[in-house]
Order: sequence, then C-alpha cells, then structure tokens
Amino acid sequence: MKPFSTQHEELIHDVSYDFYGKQIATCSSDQHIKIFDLDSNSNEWVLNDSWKAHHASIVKIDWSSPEFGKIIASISHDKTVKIWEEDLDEQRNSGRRWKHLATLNDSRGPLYDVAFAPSHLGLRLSTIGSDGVLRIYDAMEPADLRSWTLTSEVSVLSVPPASNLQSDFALAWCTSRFSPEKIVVCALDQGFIYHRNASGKLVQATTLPDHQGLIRDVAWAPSMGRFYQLLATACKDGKIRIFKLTERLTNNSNFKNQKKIINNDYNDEDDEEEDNESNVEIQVELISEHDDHHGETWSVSWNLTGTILSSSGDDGKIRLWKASYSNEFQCLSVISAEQKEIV
Amino acid sequence: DEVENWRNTSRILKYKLNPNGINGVGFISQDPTSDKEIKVFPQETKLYPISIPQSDDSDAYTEYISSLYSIYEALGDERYYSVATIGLIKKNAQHEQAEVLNNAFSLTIQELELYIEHKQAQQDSDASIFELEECLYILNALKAVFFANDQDVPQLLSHWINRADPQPSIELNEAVMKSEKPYQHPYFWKFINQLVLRGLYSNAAEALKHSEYKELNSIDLNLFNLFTDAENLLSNYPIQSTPEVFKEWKKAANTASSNASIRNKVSENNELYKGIKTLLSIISGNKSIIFETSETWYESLVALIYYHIPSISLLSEYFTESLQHHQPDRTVVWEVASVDIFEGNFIQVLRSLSSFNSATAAYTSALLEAKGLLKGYSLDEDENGKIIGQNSLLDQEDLFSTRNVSEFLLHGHALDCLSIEKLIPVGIGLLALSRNPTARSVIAEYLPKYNFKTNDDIEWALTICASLKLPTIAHVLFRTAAQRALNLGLVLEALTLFARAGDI
Repeated sequence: MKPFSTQHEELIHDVSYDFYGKQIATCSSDQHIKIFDLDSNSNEWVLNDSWKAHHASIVKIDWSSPEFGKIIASISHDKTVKIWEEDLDEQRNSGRRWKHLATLNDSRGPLYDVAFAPSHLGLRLSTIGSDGVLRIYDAMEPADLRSWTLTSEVSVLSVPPASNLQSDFALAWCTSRFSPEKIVVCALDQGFIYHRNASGKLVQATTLPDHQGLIRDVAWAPSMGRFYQLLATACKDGKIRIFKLTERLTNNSNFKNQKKIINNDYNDEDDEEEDNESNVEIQVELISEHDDHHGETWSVSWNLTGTILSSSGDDGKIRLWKASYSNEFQCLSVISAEQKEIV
Repeated sequence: DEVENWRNTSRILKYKLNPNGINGVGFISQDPTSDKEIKVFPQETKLYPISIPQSDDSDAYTEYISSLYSIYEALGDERYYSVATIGLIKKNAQHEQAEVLNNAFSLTIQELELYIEHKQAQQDSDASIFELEECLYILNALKAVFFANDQDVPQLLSHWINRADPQPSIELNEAVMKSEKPYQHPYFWKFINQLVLRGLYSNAAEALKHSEYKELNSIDLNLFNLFTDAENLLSNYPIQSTPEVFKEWKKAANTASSNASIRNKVSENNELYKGIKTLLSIISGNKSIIFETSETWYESLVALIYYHIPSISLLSEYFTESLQHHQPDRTVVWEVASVDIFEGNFIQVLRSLSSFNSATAAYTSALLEAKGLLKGYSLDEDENGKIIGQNSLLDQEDLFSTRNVSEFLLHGHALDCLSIEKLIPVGIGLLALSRNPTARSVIAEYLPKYNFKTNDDIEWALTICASLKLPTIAHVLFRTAAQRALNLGLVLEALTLFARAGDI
C-alpha cells in the first residue's frame, strides 16, 4: 500500500486502529481528529471525517470494542477526555459524522494516555496524566453513553511530578478474557501493575523493574494460548524490554478462600480487612532487553496473537520481533524509515 | 546524517501494528517532552503502511494453505499414530493408515508444486520461489523414504534427485546428441552413465538408440552387439517388478557385462570398449563402478537401488556406503536435510523446512507425527494421546509449552492464519482439531475479534461457540451483531439480536 496523506496541519501524535483493523483514527497538534476507512475494493484508506475535537494538542486516541458501537475516546493537553460516536445518518466528510457524547474533565494536568478496557470488563476507560493519577471511568448504562462515572482514582506516584522536569506517562490493559482485570501504568521511569483485589478495589500488585529513563510507551500482548502474560515497554534509556507476568494463587489466600467457603462467610467486613492483601501473586520477569535502536525508543505494539512485537526508535527504524522456540525474542525484520521515504 | 538532523528537530518515528492483520502504519510524531515549534511539511503528516515481512495474504498463498488444511482435515482419526499390536484387525488398520498418509503426502507435494507454478506465472516472481523449491526437494525425499509403497521407492528417489539437481545438463545433452556421431562424442559416456545412474534408463536407451552406433554393425560386430545388449537391457528395465523378474533381467545384465570384460584385445575401438564395459557394469549393479562413476552420494544411492538389488531393506546400507564415497555438500540446504531424512533427524528436517516456509513445515510435521516418526521427540503419551508426566498441568495450560513438535508448529501456524482474513477458518479449524485444551481458550479469545460480514459468517462463528460450549462468547457475538444491525438501521433485527444476547 502506498503512503497516504492525512492532511493534518501539525505532526500526528497517535494513530489507532479499530478492533478489526478496518478504520484508523489519527490525532495531532492541530487539535483535529481524523478517521479513515479502508475501502475494501481499492484497498485504500479513505477519509471518513475530520473535525476539531479539543482546544490543545490531541495526544492519544482509542477505540472501544464494537460490542458497544463505534466509539472513540480522545485525550488532550487541554486536560479533558472526550467520547465520540459515529453517526451513520450524517454524511461522510461533513465534520458532523462523529457525535460528541461526553467530556470528562477530572484531570488536574495535561493528559498523556487513554485506553478502553477489554469488553468483558464492560464499557470502561482509563486515563493517566501529568498529575500522576490513574482514573477509571465506567459507562454504567451502556445505552446512555453520555453518562460516565469516575469509579477509581489512584495516585500512581507518591509525589506528583515536578512541572519543570520532563515527564511521560502511558498505560495499557491486559486484554485476556481468562485473566483477572489488570492494567499497567507507567509514570516517568516506573511501571506499575494494578489489579482488583478480592473486594473490588484497584491496588498495586507489582512493578516493572530496570527502567533507567522515562517510559515512552507500553503495550500488553494479547495472550492467546499462553498461561502467562507478556508486555513490552519503550524507554528513553534506549531499550525495548519484554516482561513476562505469571499469576499464581497464593497458598495463604487459598487457605483463606477455603475457610470462607467452609464457613459460608462472605460478609463485607472481612473483605474490608483483606483490602491490602491480594489473593493473586504476580511474578514479573524481564525476559528480553534490546538496545538495537541505538537511541531513544518511542513506540511498541503487538499483533493480534501477541506473537510479533513492533518497536520504533531514534535510529529511524522500525523493528519487528518474534519469539523463538525458547521464548527468546529475535529480530524478524528491520524497516528503515529512509527506505520508506518517511524522512 | 538525515536521521540525526531529523532527531535534532524533536521529530520521532512511531509505528503501530494493525491489531487484526499483517500490517501496520509508520508515522512521524513529536517528542512529547519538547516544546519546539516545528514547521511541518506535507509529507510528514502522511501515514506509511508497512506490511510485516514474511507474511503473505496473496490469493496463491491462501489457496495453497487452504488446500494443505483440507488434506490435513480429511485425515480424520488417521492423524493420530496408532501403535502396532498383535491382531489382524489392528494390522489392517495400520496398513490403511499408511495408505491414507502416503496419499496425503503426495497431495501435499502436488499442492506445493501447484503453488510454485502459480508463483512462477506471476510477473513479480520473488526469491521465495527458490525457498519453496528447496521445500519441495525435501518433501520429495521424505516421500520417497517414508511415505511410499516399497515398489515405488526407486522411481521416487530418482524423481527426487532429478528435480533437485537436474543432470546431465541440457547443454551436455545437446552437445552430445546433436553431434554427427553421438556415440563418438568425447562426453558420450559421461552423458549416458549419468542418465543410467540417475534411474533415467529409458532416456538412456533412447539416447543409445539415436547415437548412430548401428554403423558399428559393419565395423566391429562384437562392439555392436554390446551396444545392442545395453540398449535392450535399458529398454526392458523391470521397474516395479517382482524380485524373480528382476533376477532374470539382472542375469542378462551380468552376462552382457561379462561379454564386455573378455574383449581385451587391442583394437582401434578401445575407448568404445572401455565405455560400454563401464556402462554394462553399472547396469549389472557393480558397486565399485557405481561409486567410481557417480559424482554425488545421491547419484550412487539411486544407482544401487536400481541396479544392485532394488530392496527397501537395503536402502539404509546403500545410503551409508554412498556417504563413504561421496561427502554431501554442506552448503546446500536440501542436501543436508535429505541426509537428515535418511539418518532420521526429523527435527533438523523440520527446522530446515521452517526456515523456508513455516506452514509447509507445520503440515509436514503433522504427517510425520501421524506416521509415528516424531515419537522419540515427544513426551510419552498414553493410549488416548494424553501426555503423562510431571509437566502435564503446565502443558495443558499453554498452547506452546507442548513438547509435541507437530502440535507446536501447527499451533503457531494456526495463530498466523488468524491474522490473515482469508485464512481465519483454517486457523479456527486447526485449533478446533487440536487435542490441547488451551486451543479452545484461544478460539474464545479470538472469535469476538472476527470481523463477520454476512449472516452466514455469524452462523459459522455461533456454530463454533455451540460445538465448543462457549455461551459467553456467543453472547458477545450477538451483541456485536446487534450493534452492527443498529448502525445499519435494522432496528428489529438489532432488537432480536440483543434479546439473543440476553440484554433485553
């Protein structure tokens, strides 16, 4: 396929594919969102619509599961999250095709990342911004997408980052249907895994070790057919890291659960007591670390099955990684930006 | 330098993989920690679609894979190796399984040949053709040694080497046969011997016939008779015959060879006597002459199976002897893989195939598995095919922690298929056929991502949910279909679907 023009007036900050890979949303410093549809006949990307969506740079955009309709969320340095839904009654390229449903403005600083949770968790959204707070919103009634409730607010950093220092934030959900709810949140040079404890509270389960600089991007691999989870980070220290997460029920909690079942004791007070204890232990293992980009690394993303990882970096190259028999990630291919006339 | 300049202006490169395909887009972005004003050029706001190299969604490839899958699916229960036990019924069953697997292997080879032809017919034929050819040579060797009826083996071995390394060359053929008196051409014997050694006996007979040797009738009758004997022997080679018939033929060959040996007197035609003597020695299965005249281990191997004793039970011995006289070329992948085949190093064979085409390797491994050839590489299995051992729990939890080689390759291939729209049914089919319980969970993870277009597609997905007992996934599919119907303005249909999803 040939390169195609987005007609953005400023640089693009994010590109997001819809669930099926048939639509693309782009956002830019020009405060516009653009949607492109893949024409199945010509196999070309055709502009669906373009509109001014925020009052500052739009930095991230994400699609919900099609189970809830065609919905996107955008975040901006203007501190707001906006929710949009495609209105098929409106003409393409009318500037009105995407209906504004809601604005969420709880953040005290510019927002850096947004992601919809996997659909089995409901219509749920998470954000992270420069105030270092992870916020989770739920559409309690999927029939009314104008109403979103802030259901969790967690300060990821004990002290909010100093405004005069460089900072970056990123987050990603665990998409596995067979694994309990989990989200990775990166703030500055630290990565944290949060999960829900027995009483439904979002608590920190573990951290991602070894980063020596701002974490630029994080991606959670779809875990098709694996009993463990994989996630990848792109870091300012020049490294792409791949972590393996293994969940195990702790013996202690097994015992407690058994005791609860025997006593048929499910009262809330007991749950409150266990708030700080999780019944699942997550082991984190750094299984792969690559500095092939010879400079800062900027983005990581996984394919459908979590078998191929992409990375990009300051060497102007895109690298694709694939796991070998022994779960070691090896470079499958290097694509030079110059070859593709990106520069 | 260009990259350096670009970096100094706070520009960065990002790439996003398509979450449901074999491509992605690259784009230029801005360092989020920089507040530099950037003058943006139009080409910098373009998106650059880039496909994952080594992924193929072309019609030729998807047809090839779909055909291989059909062959695999049609195996039914024969895809599981049945252990030989005492009893007539079991023996018959084994025999039938061998027939089924041999046929499946032949079909696999046919499909690969067809795929290669398709690729060759395309204008923009690429380097992958050479890799597919190498796969074909390896499959031909496997077919000849492990997936053939005994009487077909010599021909299949001949086919294997003549496809992989066609000799004698067309140039030599033309130089010899287009000369005025081919039988006097300096390379005539090299040419004829090579044809004979490689099992191309009828071509050799034809070449002899047209070599103008008949003029010897009036010059040197003995020599003429030896030529005639050679031509007759080659024309009447008893391919696929009973051992008795071969014995008779070999007796005649030995007689002719002896006749050539006793003609020792000095003659003008000494070179011709020498040539015909060597030829008749090869035909009569003389081992030392075969090793001497052949150029490669596989040439002498084929000559021995044709002319020494065409018995499969001697194949291994012939292989060992041939290697003692001719070292294999370690730089040629198909040749090394063929040595591995004879030595039974099937993992190495699959590794070689995988390096060229992982899908072909996966289906081949399934046939090897069914034939019981990968037995030694797996964990022990009980009668039901369940893995016994302390790691069994782990094996059941993971699609890839299996120690079963073919399962590993097929699962990997199945996941590859899920990213290619036209191969999704193949991917799901392979997972549904898998005996690994995790495969069901992969289908459950995948199905909600299936971009169904028609009601038939939805029905297909729902049938899978029903057969694998995945009610929750069926609800997700109904809900997604309902949203789609709603978007298309089909309110009643949407309501019905929401109801089926249990939402109203």
